[in-house]
Amino acid sequence: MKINKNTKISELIKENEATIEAIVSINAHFKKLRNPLLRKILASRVTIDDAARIGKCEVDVFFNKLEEIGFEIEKSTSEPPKKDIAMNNNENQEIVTVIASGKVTSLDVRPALAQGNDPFKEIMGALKTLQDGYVLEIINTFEPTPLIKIINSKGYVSMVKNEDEVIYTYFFKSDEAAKPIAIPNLVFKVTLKELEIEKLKCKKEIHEVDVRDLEMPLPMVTILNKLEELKQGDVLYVHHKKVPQYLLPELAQRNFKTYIAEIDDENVKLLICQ
Amino acid sequence: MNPIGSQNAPSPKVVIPHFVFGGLVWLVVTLLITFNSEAFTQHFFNPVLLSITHLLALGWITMVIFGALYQLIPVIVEVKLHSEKLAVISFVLLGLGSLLLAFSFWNLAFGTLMFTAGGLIVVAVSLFLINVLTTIYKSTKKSIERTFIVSAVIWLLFTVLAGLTLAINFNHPFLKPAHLELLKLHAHAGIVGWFLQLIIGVSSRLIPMFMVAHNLNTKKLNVAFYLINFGLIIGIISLFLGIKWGVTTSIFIGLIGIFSYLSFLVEAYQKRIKKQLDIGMKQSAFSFLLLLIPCLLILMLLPNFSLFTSFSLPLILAYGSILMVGFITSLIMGQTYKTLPFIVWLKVYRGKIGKLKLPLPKDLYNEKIAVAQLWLFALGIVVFLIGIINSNTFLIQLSGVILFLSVMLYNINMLKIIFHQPKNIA
Repeated sequence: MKINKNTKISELIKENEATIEAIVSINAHFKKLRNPLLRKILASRVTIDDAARIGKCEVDVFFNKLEEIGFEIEKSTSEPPKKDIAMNNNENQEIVTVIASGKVTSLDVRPALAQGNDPFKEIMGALKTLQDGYVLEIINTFEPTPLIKIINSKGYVSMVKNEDEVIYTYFFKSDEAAKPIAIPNLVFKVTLKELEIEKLKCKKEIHEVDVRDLEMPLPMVTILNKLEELKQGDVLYVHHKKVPQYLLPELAQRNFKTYIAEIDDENVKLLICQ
Repeated sequence: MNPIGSQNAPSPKVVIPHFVFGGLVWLVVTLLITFNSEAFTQHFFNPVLLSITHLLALGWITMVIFGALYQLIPVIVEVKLHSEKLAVISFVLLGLGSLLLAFSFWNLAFGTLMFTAGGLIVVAVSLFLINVLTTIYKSTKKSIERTFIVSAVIWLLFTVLAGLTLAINFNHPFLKPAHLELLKLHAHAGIVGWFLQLIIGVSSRLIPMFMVAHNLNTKKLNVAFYLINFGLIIGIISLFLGIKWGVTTSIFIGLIGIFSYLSFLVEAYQKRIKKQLDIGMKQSAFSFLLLLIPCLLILMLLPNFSLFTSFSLPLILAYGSILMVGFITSLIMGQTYKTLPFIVWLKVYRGKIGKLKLPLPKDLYNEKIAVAQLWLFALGIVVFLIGIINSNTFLIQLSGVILFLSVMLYNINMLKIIFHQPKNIA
């Protein structure tokens, strides 16, 4: 099998079981691969390149070991490694400042890993509930390179710190990034007639909800809950008492288009679509 | 089809400091009551009482109202607040001004210090007025709530200008009427013109909303608006010119206006869909019961309107105290539980609502602490009133301690709300 630095560890193991012991011999850190559960979690996400970084050695060390057990190395691998800011242990000034101000939510994934659980969902969940202006700290035993890539792609900056074999990874979304980039105007005041026309235009299913008898903030919570359940293209028709001032920014942030028709002082109809 | 702005709420950073400052000032005031109980057994024109009154009126009540209005006005008129920067400047000036004013009353420093304090407050109020009016007139949305707020804010400016004039008149007398009559004018412009009208404007929107009551007769509010303002103007002119029957007439007109408003609230209460009142609404309901007491007291004071009898003096003190410490304070404490948790909840969970199972605003404070706070407050205010009417310093002192405990609990809950950390109920 021809391999390069982007080949996944899981493919190597699939091809040749001896890969496990070959990699463990490079760094005792990779003993985890002997555990079939952990192997399933980790090996599928990690490339040779990532593994070299985790094991703190050159990619060539891997290639040498793998050649010994019969893998063929592709030529193109000699190209210089791409510079990846996220992987640098360089301090990110923004993150350092936030940490100094104590705004850190910490998540230790070592217990989960020790039990053979995949902490991926837990980490993404923590990221989702992370308060604006806070840094998420992941405590781990190795540098979670694939995770960093995924989270970076969502607009977070990251920083990795190594202290006595414990790896701290930090993620942060700066205010600039968190603020929706100049929300396009998605809210329209219309007449009831125009609203009905928009409603007729919808080819997909129209869901209806009446929030007039709910105490605040339940109207808002109910509407946003409903919207989460909608299928692509479905539309929500809302009976409301007033123009929901606090709901509108939430809708705009989620890229919903909202048509508002005020009938009287106590009757407002909303049509919310994607 | 008209596109409209979606992000009208002000930054919580502008609103929340008002609540913190106000809560702390109110806590300090309970200590001042405890250690200066004799001030409530003397003539009301004494330095300690003037100091306490202005701390309460400006540092606590007006401060919290400013913060709440920055949040509420954009909701009522559906446009963004004109300027957050102006709001911050106004906060700092009002805070400094009210502390300085209390300090100068306490030390009988009726000179430069008091003018400086008064000047700061006048500037703070003017900036607030500009901010509010500019915001409101950006919108074409007309409602009786809006009319009440505009009128209240104008009365506030009148009140502080009258206050400043009184300070000048005290040093260099130039006005003909007796100083104490002018004091009544200043006090009622503040209490009826500013506090009461603002409370009517804000509560007639919020209370039906919190109780979920539909189809109310808002004509009652229009009646209240015209009668209260008409009564107040007649009252102020009559006080200035010393026309006694004019004052009496104005009181009756004003009272009818207040009862028209109260009947609107009763209607909202009867038509409410949410049957169970939560703790914030219970304290608010309690405050409206307290409002009946000064309405009764002012009628009792009418026939016996000479100022220096041993009968009327404690009653006048009770009248002012029950309005400021009883009605207005209780309402603000109750409504804080309805507004502040929502503001913080939205700040913490914005963007996540509906996606995850989240706590609700009412989960941000400790319910038991809030219940204890309400009972202590009710006990404290009753003891306070009995103490004042009987000129009993021990009872006043005792009420100060009870109120201190209540306000302590209130502050604990406020801080708990403000420092709420995001939680995910999985």
